[in-house]
Order: sequence, then structure tokens, then C-alpha cells
Amino acid sequence: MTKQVLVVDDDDGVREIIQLSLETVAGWNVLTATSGQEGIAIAKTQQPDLILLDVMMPDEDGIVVFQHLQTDPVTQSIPTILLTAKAQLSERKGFMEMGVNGVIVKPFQARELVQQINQILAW
Amino acid sequence: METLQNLFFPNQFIPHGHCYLWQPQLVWLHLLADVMIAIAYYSIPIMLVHFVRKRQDVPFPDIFLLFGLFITTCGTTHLMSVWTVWYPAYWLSGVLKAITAMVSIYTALALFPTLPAALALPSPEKLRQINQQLETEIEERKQAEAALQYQLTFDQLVSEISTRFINLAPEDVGDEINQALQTIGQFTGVDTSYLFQFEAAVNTFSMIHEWVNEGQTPQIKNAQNLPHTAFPWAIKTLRQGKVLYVPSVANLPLEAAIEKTHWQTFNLQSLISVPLMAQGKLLGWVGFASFQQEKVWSESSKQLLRMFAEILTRALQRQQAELALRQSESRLQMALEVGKTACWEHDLIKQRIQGFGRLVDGQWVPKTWQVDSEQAWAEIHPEDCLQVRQAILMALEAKGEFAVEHRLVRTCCPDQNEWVLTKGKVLENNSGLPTRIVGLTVDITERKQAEASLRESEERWQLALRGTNDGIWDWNVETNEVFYSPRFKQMLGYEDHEFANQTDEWERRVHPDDIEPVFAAVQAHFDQQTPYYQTEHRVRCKDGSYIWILDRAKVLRNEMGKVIRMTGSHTDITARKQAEADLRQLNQELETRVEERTAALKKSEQRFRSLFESAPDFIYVLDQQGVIQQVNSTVTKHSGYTELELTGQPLTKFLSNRTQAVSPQEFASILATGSHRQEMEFVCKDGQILTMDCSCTLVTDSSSDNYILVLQRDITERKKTEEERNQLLVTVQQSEQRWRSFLDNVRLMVIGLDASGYVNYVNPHCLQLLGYQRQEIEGKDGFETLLPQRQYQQRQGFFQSLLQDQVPSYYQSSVLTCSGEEKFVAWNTTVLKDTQGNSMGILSVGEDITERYAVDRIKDEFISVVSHELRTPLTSIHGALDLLATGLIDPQSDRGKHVFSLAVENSERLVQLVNDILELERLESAKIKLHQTSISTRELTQRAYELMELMAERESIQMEIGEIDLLVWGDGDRLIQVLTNLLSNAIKFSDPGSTVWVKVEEIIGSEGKYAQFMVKDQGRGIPADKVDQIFERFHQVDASESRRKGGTGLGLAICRSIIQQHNGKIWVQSVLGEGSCFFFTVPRHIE
Repeated sequence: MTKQVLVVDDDDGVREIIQLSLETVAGWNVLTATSGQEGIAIAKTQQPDLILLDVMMPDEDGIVVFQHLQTDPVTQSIPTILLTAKAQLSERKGFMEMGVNGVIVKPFQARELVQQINQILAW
Repeated sequence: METLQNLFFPNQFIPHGHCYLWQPQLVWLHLLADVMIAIAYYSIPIMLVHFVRKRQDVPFPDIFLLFGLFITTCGTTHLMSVWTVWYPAYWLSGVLKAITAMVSIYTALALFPTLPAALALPSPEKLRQINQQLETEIEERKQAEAALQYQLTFDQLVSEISTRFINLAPEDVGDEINQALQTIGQFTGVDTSYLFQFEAAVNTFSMIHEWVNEGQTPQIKNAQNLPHTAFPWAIKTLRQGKVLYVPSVANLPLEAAIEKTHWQTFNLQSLISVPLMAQGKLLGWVGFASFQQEKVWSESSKQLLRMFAEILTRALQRQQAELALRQSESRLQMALEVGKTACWEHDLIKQRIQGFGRLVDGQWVPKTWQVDSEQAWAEIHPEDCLQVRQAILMALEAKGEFAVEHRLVRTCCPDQNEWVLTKGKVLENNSGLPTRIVGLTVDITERKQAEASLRESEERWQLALRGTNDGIWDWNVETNEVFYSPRFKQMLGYEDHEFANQTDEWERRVHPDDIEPVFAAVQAHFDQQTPYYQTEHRVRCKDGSYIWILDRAKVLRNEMGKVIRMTGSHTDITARKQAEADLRQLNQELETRVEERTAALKKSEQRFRSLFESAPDFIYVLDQQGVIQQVNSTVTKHSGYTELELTGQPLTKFLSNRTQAVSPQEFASILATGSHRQEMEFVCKDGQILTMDCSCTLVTDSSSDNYILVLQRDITERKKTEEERNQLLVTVQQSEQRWRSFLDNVRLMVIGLDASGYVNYVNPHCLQLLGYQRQEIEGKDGFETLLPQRQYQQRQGFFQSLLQDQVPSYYQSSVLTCSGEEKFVAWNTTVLKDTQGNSMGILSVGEDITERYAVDRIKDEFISVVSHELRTPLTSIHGALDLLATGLIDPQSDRGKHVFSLAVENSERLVQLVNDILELERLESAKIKLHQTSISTRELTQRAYELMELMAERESIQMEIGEIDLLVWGDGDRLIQVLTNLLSNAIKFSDPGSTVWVKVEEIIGSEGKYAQFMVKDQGRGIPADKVDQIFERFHQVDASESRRKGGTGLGLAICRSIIQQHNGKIWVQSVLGEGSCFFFTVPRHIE
């Protein structure tokens, strides 16, 4: 069964590149959201197999969105991987302690992205 | 004949002998055997018949006869066997056998019914037992007959003895008793018989009659006045009216040990004693004893002995009664002759009175007299006549007796009367009519006088009793009756009827511990060892409590000295006893206290002595002139002087010159105030000077015996040590001063906490930084006061670890200032320890790194933001190029072209971003120098307008430029950059069709005149919370939207930097949804 991945990122370019990468490399079905609110709404209705969540977004950043997803019984079990441009190890460690499944640092290559997702979720 | 021939001598059969083959031995064997059997069989019936005929009593004779017949027929069959040897008369032989068979069957049948009866017949052994039993019965019957005969004879003897006692003169009773004892003793075969009599008055027993068999020794002399306790067991049995039967003295029970010992002394084997009882009381007993063998007495014999005892009882009673009567008669005669008594007989028919003994002229004359009744009445006192008549009439009516006390008139002197007691008894004739009165008149004048005296005495006594409030008791020792006065009972809490007049009522209430001394006191008084009885003892009251009683009494003795009464009193001395007990206890307590005080004083004295001698100090006792009276051994030991050298000398003699100079003042002080203390210098014998701490006390024992006690302690070493310590103290104080100065002036926070975490030191810089006054923080919990709530618990644990040297002493933490501001401090902490190494607290030196921390944080954030802003376009570029380069997307395809354009777009964005960052950096680091000139605001706005006109047209935004023109001093390019940036933002965030205004006006500030530029739009506006941040780097209102519209998030920051370099200001006013208005000022150029 084709995996369905929700990509939440406010940057159009990044969002589009991720979508193209996942679709072309892994053949997964990709949903996109431009903000945290939109991402939460799609996650609730579509319940994707994975959420790729950008950390630094205006209004609600990725941390707030993740905490919101965790409080909702419908979305709390959906694996979530954070996408961040913050490359410091301490920051990444802090994200992992929050309970996310993984952290992928920008920038990344298409195959590398899919490979990391497969590794994190053991797909 | 022929038949008989055929019967006995048949010839048709072969003789039996053929069967034996006519062998002579065999034939002879059968012949002899059959003949002998036949002989035996014929002889047995003959004996049976003979036996039956001889023993007619033998049962079942028919069976015997049938047996005889049966055996006879059997014998005949054997004879027939002999016959058939030679003659084959088998028919005859068969017939005989058939007869034998019938007889035997009949006999057997007859045996069946006979067998049970035959079995029931007694066996010879049983018959022998029956015979033996019969013989025993016969023997017993003979014995019974003999016993009966014995009993009859015994009975006859007792009857004869009884007869002999009839009408026996009293003086002959004794002989007859002796005779009777002998008769009974001899008849019964005992060795002795005797009669004991009980003397109730003295409670003793004496043997008064005895008979002994020949060869035995009389014991009557040894058996006199035996106490009733001599044979307690025997007397007890006899007192119960029981016969004392001792079949074997040797087998007497344990309780009869006394009797057993006594009787075995006399070799008594057995004895029987029968009590002599009268009206339930034991008068004595008659006894019969055996020395040789044990004597058995049958019940009937015992009964006869009881009869004999009864005979003796009556005889003795009658003897005693008659003797008593004779004595009484004798005494009466004597009394009448010597006493003031008259006996008389009043003939009621003839109304005459005759008598013996009469009162004549006040004297009783023993002579016979006779008067008529009228004359006799005249001699009775008139006042008593009625009473006497009534007494006589009542006696006549009752046909009984009378007794009346009255007076007789003395003929010689009528005013004196004689008191008499007249007793009379009415006698009747055969018809039952009273005909005579016999009586006695006794002079009771003395008794009456005694009674009067007694009554008077009694009244006085009662009066005295009521006065003393004592209880009275009166014990009649002879009758054992006792009288307790109501007060006696009342003292014990009893009503009169609740306390019986018996001795044991009192006895059982006496305290068990007191009863023996009381009895001893009574006995001592009885034995005349004490003049009167007096004890103090406790008696139990009705409520169970005890009261103390003073019991005093005196006995009354008869002329023989025997105690007959004892009268005494009970005095309640409980209160006195309690007072005595209290006093005793008080005395005891006082004595104990005195002893304790004495012991304490002795101990104190001892302690003082040892203290005085063993004290490490010099101790002197001086007189008031300061002369040494006494010194302790410490003085002599350390000073080198002997006691002799010291005593008698003034103390000042041994002091240094410097000390001697002040000595007079010291003595004046001691005598004035009673004590004085000062340092002195004592010069030892070897010249060494000791510095002494001297304490002098004026001790006042009495007004004439005052002395001065001087204690000197050698403080030479201490003084030296003190000097060293003072030196050290100065050093320490100087060091402390230096440190204090350092801590007070250092530009570091210094704070000290004790081991509990309480602030014990804080330096001025720390106070200044935290905004506290010293008193607000010192003594307070350092963690609670200074730490943010979130760190409090954590830091407590950290503090404990710090004290134990378990954590590094360098750390950073936040502290709260007085105003609640949080400051970040880097601490360097030292754990303070005492001399034992125990942690006393900490001293922390801290550096305020709040600003540095903030800068670092801002820098981190900036790096983070820049990183994000740079990596975001890089991600798109990198991803796009990777998709194209790896062939995942065909570059020639539409998608490929789109991806390529994405890469280009983001590359441009990245270039712009880098340029902005570099420009901003250059501006902020002042690496870009402004080329300031005087320039017209009109020119600036116009040029900006022109630059943005195309963009405005594309976005359908109208721009309006103000008319005012002012000269400003600035870098025209940079100011145009600011204006175009602001206009660009206004166009980007304004809806199409809206207007953007650019206006300039002059304002006057504190430092001069300025041209104030204004760029106003009708766009979406800025939220109020972002208004202040809008000029910060990367603080767009909406970064995504801004990015989408080509913003880098650095434009306003660059604007601010440019304006600030022009010494101007830039700010924004905005209403969300209505639009924003940006202002900046540039100084006017003043020519």
C-alpha cells in the first residue's frame, strides 16, 4: 500500500522539492500544508503515515504543531519527523527528547531524504 | 419237644466251631472269654438290684433295674455264643439278641428324660461343701446359744444389781457399786472395772470405784483429779453419750495418740467405757479393761453395760441428791438457828401461824412460836400489807408460790423497820382445796441497805459514765457473760441490738496483731502480776475501719482469790494515736533531716578540706590585718616557702613592689565591699615572680571572727598565652580588614551562606546589583530569597552536594534581584570548614554575566535564524539540482524546467540575502562611510518615486509625493535606499488600488531641526506586538509572505542602521487592517 506523507513547510520551494523527491524517489503519495494550522487539519482528516514538519514557521512553529498533534488522540500516533535548518547537535537532541521520531537537517538530497525516512521509520 | 429239639439242637446249620476250624486254642479263647463276660454280666445286675434295694433314697431305681435287665440279656447272648460253637441254634441266638436289643432300646429311651435330673444331682464335692456349711451353722448356732446364754446370765446379773440398788441408803451405794463392778468384771472376764466421776466445778475426772482381778494392781490412787484434757479423744466421745469401745489399744487411730500412749503404759489391751449421762451432761463413766488379751464386746453386751451405767447414774444421782438434801437440811437448821430467818406454816382453816425463829424487839430469836393470823398481820408494816395480801391472794388463786419483800415493824421502836423477804407455797388437801401455806421469812435489811447503797453507787457510776463518754464492759468470769454498755457499742458503730453480750463479739473484732498482747495483759492481771489491766489496741468498727481503744479494767475476786468479774472501760484514743503517729512521723522526718544535714555537713566539711588542700590555686586565710593564718599545700609546694615561713607574716611581704604599692587600697576595698579581685605578682622564695589572679573575700562567721579568704591562681602562663594570642589577633584582624576591604570593594558579587543555606555575608557590590539592603538579605534563606522558584528545589540538593565537595565549585545560575529581575551569574564557590574539617558553609564569588549571556543568546538566535534563512533557499536549490542531476526528473520536461526555475529563483534569493547580510554587517560595523552632503528632500522623494513607480504600477498602487522641500544633511544614496525600501514594503503589503503617501515635514527636536519623512500605506497593518520588533533582523510580520514577495527580513534593519548613522530616528505607527505609517528623521542642513 502506498505510503501517504504530509509535508508541512511555509516555504513553497522547499515544500515542492520535498514533494517531488518523495514522489519520484519513493513513489509515496504526498500531501502538503503551508502552515501549522493547515497541517493539523490535514493530519486529522487524512491521518497520513508520516508527517514531515518544518520547525521554523511563522505563527505556529513546528514544535507547537507537534505538541498539538500529540495531544489529539487522532494524530498522536502518527510518526513525525522534523525538518530543520538548525544544524547544532544540542538542538537536534532537544527535538528528539520531545518525542519526535526523527530530525532531518536541511538541506538534503532527494534520495538521502527518502533513505533517512526509511531508516527512521524502518519502512 | 421236637420244636425245642429243633430250637436248641438244630441240624440244618453248621456249628460255629467250624468257623474256628475247631482249632482248640481258638475255640478255648472264645469259650473262656464269652463265659467270663457272661459271669461278669450276670453278677452286675445282682449288685445293682442289691444296691437299689438297700438304698431306697437313691433316685431313679427303675433305671438301675433296666440296666440290670439289659446287662443280663447281654450276658445271655454271650452264653449263647458259647452254645453255638458246638450247636448251631442260631434261631435261638437271634431271638435272644432281638430281646437284648429291645431291652437296650427301652433302657436308652428311658435314660433320655432321666438324664437332666441325673445331671442336676449334687456332686460329691458340692455335697461335701454343703456338709461343711451345715457343720459351720451348727457351730454358730451353738455359739449363738452360748452367747444367748451368756447374755441371759448377763442380763440377769444386771437385773439383780439393779434390784440391789433399790432403796439403798446413800452410804451403802459405794459398797454396792464396788460389788457390782466386781460381779460384772468377773462375769465378763475382764481384768479390771472402774467408775470415773466428773467434777464439773474443777473440770477434772477422778476414779471413785475400782475392782481388779487377782494379780492386778489397783490404780485408783493414780487416777484422781485428772484434767479433762488428759484423754481428749476419749472424753470427746463420752461427752457425746457414745460408748467408747477400744477392741485393740494397739490399733487406735492417730487422733487418740495421747490415750494410746497412756493405756499402753499400763499394758491395756482393750477396754470399753460407758458414759454416765444426766440431762445431756457427762457425770462420769464406767469402764472395763483387759490386760492379758483383747476383749470383744457384742452389741447386746454393750446394751447391758449401758443399762448398768444407767443404774449407776441413778444411784449416784440419788446418792448425791440425798446427801445434798441432808446437807441442805443441816444448813437450813443451822441457818435458822444462826441466821435472821424464820420458817412458818399458816393453817388457812384455823387461821393460825406457827413457826421457828422470830423477830423480837429487833432481834431474831431462834425459838418456836405460834400466833393467830391477825397478830401476824399486825407485825407487817401497814404500807406493805396490801402488797403482801395481793401476793398471797395470787398464790392462792394459782395454787402456787409467792415471794414478797416487805417490812416488819419493830415492837420496841416502831419507827424502825426490818426488811424481810417472805416466800410461801400454797399446799392443798386431797380435795384440791388450799389448806396451808408454808413459807420462810428472811431478814434482808442488810441487803436492802446494800442495795440502796449500790443504787446510789450505780447512779453515781452512771453519772460518771455519761460524763466520761467511755464505753463500759462487765465480764462475769464464772458464767462467761458480759455486759457491753450502749456507749461501748456506739463507739464501734453498732446499735445496742446489733452487738451481742458475748465475749467473742469483742474478741473477734480486736485487731489480729493486738489480740495476743491483750490476752497476755488480761492473764497478767488475772495472775496478779499487774494491779490493773490496761492495754491500747485496735478494734474493728461496723464499717470495717479500726479505732484505737484504751482498755482499762480491774478484776473482782472472791474470798478465795478466784476472779469472778472483770469490769472495765473503753476509751476511744484514735485521735490521740493519730496525733502520736503524726508526731512520731514528724520526729522521724526531723531526725532523718537532721541526720542528712549532719551527714551533708560532714561531707561538706570533708569536701572543703580536700578542696582546700588539693586545690590547684594558692589559698590563704588572712586575719583582718592581712596576716596569713593558714595556707594550703599548693602555696608551699609552688612558692618554695614552708608553712611556718608563711603563717604569721603579712601577705604583702611576699608580693612584688609593684603589687605592694596598691595593697592598702585592696584591703580597704575588701573590708568595705566584702570582696576584691585583682592581679598580683607573687615573689617565690627563689625570686621567680608569678602573676596571680587574686580573689579576696571577707568571710563573716560571727561579729568577732571575721577573716579574709584569698585565692590566687597562677596565670603566668595564661598571661603569656594571652599576649601571644593578642598578637595573633591583631594579625588576624589586619588580615580580616584586608579581606573585608577587598570584599567590600571588589566588583564581584560575594555572598556567604551558612551550612543551613542562610545568608551570613553579602558584599556591597552584590547588594547593589541585587537591589537589596543588607538587612533584607542577611539571615534569610539564600535560596528562597535569591533563586527563581523553578531552581529552588534543585539548588537545595546542589548546595548539600557542594558542602560535601561532591560537585565542582564553578557553576552558573540565575538569581533574582529585589525587583524580580533575573540575572545570570557565574559562581565560584569555596566551602568553609572548621578546624575539624566540618563544613560550616560556603563563600561564593559571582560575576554578573547577564548581558554577556544575553548577547550570546542573541548571537545564537541570530546564527540560528541566519542558518535557517540561508538553508531554506539552499534546500530548494540543492534539492532541485539533485533531482535534475540524478535524472530523477528530466531537465527537458516541463517539470524539469519548473524545478530548474525553482533553483534559479532561490539562488537569486540567496544572493540577495547574502548581500543584505553583508551590507547590514558593513553598516553596523561602520565599514561603510556615509557621503553626506546637503540634499533636498524633494529630490530624494522624487528619485525614490521614480525608482518605485514601475513596481507600483505593476501592483496597481497609487503613489503621492508631498510638496514640502527641505534641505537635509545626509548621504543621498543611502536615504533613497531607505525610502525605496519603505515604499517597496508599502507597495508589497497594500491591496491593489490603494494609495501610498510620501511626505516630508520639519520638526524640531532637542538637538535641533529635523526633516521628518513619512511613508504611509493602506495595507494590512502590523500587529501591535510586532511593532517594536519590526526593525530587528529577520523579524518580518509574516516571513513566508515576505519571502514569497522577495523579502529577506533585513530591509528595515538596514533602514534603521542607515538612519541611525544619520543621527536620526526611525519608527512606525500602524493600525492592523488599516495601514502603516513609517517615519524617519534626518537632521536639517542649516547653512
